[in-house]
Amino acid sequence: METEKFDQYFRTQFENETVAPPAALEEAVFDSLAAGAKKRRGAAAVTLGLVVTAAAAALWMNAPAPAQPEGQEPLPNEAFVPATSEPDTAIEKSAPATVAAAQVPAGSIVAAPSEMPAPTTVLSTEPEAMNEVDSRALSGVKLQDSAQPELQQLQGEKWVLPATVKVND
Amino acid sequence: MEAADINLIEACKRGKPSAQREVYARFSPMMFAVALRYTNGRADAEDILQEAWIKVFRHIKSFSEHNSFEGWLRRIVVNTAITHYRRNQKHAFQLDVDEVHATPADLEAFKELDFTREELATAIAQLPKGYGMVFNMYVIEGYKHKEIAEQLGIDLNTSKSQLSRARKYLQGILENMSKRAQQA
Repeated sequence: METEKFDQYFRTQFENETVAPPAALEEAVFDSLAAGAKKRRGAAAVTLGLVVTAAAAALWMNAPAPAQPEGQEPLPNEAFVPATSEPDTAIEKSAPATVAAAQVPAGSIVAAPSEMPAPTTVLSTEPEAMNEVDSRALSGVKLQDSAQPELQQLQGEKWVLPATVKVND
Repeated sequence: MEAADINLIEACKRGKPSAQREVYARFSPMMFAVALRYTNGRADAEDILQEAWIKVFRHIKSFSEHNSFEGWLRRIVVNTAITHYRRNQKHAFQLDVDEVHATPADLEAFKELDFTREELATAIAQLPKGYGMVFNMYVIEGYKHKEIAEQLGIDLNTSKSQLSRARKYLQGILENMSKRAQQA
């Protein structure tokens, strides 16, 4: 008998073959499906919750400062209370229009949102005078001239401290 | 594919339980028959069928109505059976099919075949596991050697040689069955 005929004989015999599976298997299949669907829904809900929480936190942290109402001078001594500062020291409520955006340095520890002060909470303190910093001579480096360098305002808020450093080989 | 079948599949894609039950009732007997041919026991076949149906309903959205739904279901059963076979292969003592000596019988000497489907199924079940897999996939399901080699993780020539040996082995089994029937 040729190989093809042999194969064809088997193929024909098993064509449209059916065997009824046990009735209990149907419930097992649909129970597994329901359990799997429930598990996936739970996982999806947790993921969604995490995404929403993270998005809300990110929005809150990066919220731009609200527009300044016309005719109102911004208070120069207002700043956000740092996350690590004590919330009950010199905190007072003020209008939300005067809130400045907070900058959280990378790597800093930030308190949980529930412990954070409300976005409208600002700290008002008297402006402190800047400490005068003495020029410090580097060991092995000689200053070119003895004149004390002075801060020079170039434009707007940019300040430059001119210095000349001579490096000895 | 008929419009009613397309609607039924679409309902399954939407996760409608009654449609899923209907599809299960209609195609389970065919799928169970396929699963039985790839295993030596009903318990294994039931495991394969259950696993296959879960795959079917989880991935039914990827099925395109341009293809044969029955063909798609058969492939899922066969793939599940292969996974099952590989999984069990790790734990069971596996006879290297290349060391099984094929019967010397020649297909040329085999003039007539007159067996029932059950007898043929019994003969296939007696094949060494590797031979049975290749024979089922190539002869019954119509896979190509390249596909079989990829699915089973074997060489293309191994697939061909195993099929050849499976045919001879089967012939030997069927001859013995004929002799026993004549003696009885």
